[in-house]
Amino acid sequence: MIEGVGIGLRKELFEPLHATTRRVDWLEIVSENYIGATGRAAVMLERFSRRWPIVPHGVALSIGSDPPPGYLDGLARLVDLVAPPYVSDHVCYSSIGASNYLDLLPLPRHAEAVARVVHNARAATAAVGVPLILENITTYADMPGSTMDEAAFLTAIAEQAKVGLLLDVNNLYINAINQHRAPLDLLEAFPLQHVKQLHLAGHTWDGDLLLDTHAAAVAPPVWDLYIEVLRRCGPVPTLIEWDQHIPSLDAVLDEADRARELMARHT
Amino acid sequence: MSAVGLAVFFAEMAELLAGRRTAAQCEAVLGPSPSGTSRFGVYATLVDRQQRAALDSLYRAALVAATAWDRSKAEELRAGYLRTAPPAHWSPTVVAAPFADYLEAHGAPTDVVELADFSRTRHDVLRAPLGDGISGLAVRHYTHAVRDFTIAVERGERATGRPDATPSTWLFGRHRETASLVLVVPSLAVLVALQIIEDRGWSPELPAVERTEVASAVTFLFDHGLLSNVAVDTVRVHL
Repeated sequence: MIEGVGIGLRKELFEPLHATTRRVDWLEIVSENYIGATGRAAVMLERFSRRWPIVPHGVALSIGSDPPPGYLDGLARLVDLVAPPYVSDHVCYSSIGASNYLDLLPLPRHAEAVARVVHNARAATAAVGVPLILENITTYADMPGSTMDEAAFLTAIAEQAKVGLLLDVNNLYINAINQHRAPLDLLEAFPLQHVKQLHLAGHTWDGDLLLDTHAAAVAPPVWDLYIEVLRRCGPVPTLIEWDQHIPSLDAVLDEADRARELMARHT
Repeated sequence: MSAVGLAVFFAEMAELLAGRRTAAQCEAVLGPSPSGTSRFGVYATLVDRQQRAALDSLYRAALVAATAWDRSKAEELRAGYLRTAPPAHWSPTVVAAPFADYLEAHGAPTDVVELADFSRTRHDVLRAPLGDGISGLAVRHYTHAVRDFTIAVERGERATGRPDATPSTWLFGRHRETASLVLVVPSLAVLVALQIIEDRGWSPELPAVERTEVASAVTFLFDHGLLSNVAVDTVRVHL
């Protein structure tokens, strides 16, 4: 059972996290950094899993194309190690055949793509033995051939695959800004009834694009949007993501404290 | 059903993301992106940026030195490597593993190759399984002061320049309890001790070192968390 506010476990935080006495409700790990790990990462994972619940969050399942060879077996072994209540990944593709793009790429939103994701989600759930939840990604351009908006696409996937959704509030905000739309409009359209977990993160401007970099503190308008999500969804488990220019653990935990405070006040 | 199926979509995107086809050429097959051609094409830039960032993250010091050596050749090496060996696996453990070999084969100077090898060795040692022998340990000899340069770059104390031409030999390992990197200058006795563990006994080819020095070396390695009790016993029965 995951409750409250967690933080992403990054190697830069290993030592301070081991020493901290501050409140941490749970940890999220990047699955790929720990699948098959035999070294320092494995030692740290074993150590931290005795203290906190851990949720594997993947970036390479590539559910919209096909999982890479060996990936699901590795993820299943990781699940055996940390016994999470669920695993998560993204509604996207990150590899095509043998090519891995190290990025989360948008699918064309149409019925065939829904069917592919649903098929792979079922296969993944069966392989790992725990529920899968899927995250909305940032979309800098709609793909050719799309016939649905994001809300309809995610709803179809969640309902047909019977999976929960991970709502990344920062991603939703970024999409709204890049598409010149009101964030609240996108939030109202989002299939909130399927949301099982939230992400909060920082973003960065690059020219005329707002990019999902996880390289800064959560921005004020994303906090505002988070409050709106809490009002609609209740106290959904929330994670603070910080992956680049990682500050001190205390700075990350300050963000978690703020999320926890908002969760208490607005639900 | 959409006009263009997923198979065609992925075939075209593979070309776009590898930089072999423009966004407009892909749109000619897939149909127009509702976001416009320019915005559609941004994904080729973003993927290229991600792959460069992964390489830079793994080999920051080597790329700093390569840039100081010859900025345009450094860029050629970086782009050439990603073009000929783009990421083909999801695991960060194997991404860009042969970069040092590529640099050497394509004319990079010795210090740049050594810096890449230093980073890779450190990366691998932190991830290697630990047995009761010397698995998970590595010894490297360099003609340049690669450790000091790498640390200075990673701490943000240096953003340019190249390492001093000071030879150095390093024993890489991972502490068996703390799991942190251990990097020490190995004495001859340490190297002999490691060889005894690997060979499970003295060999006539080993350099002449006093057994008391080897015993001290074993204690040194154990105290630094680099040897298991089993490995220590393996050496001691031969002393």
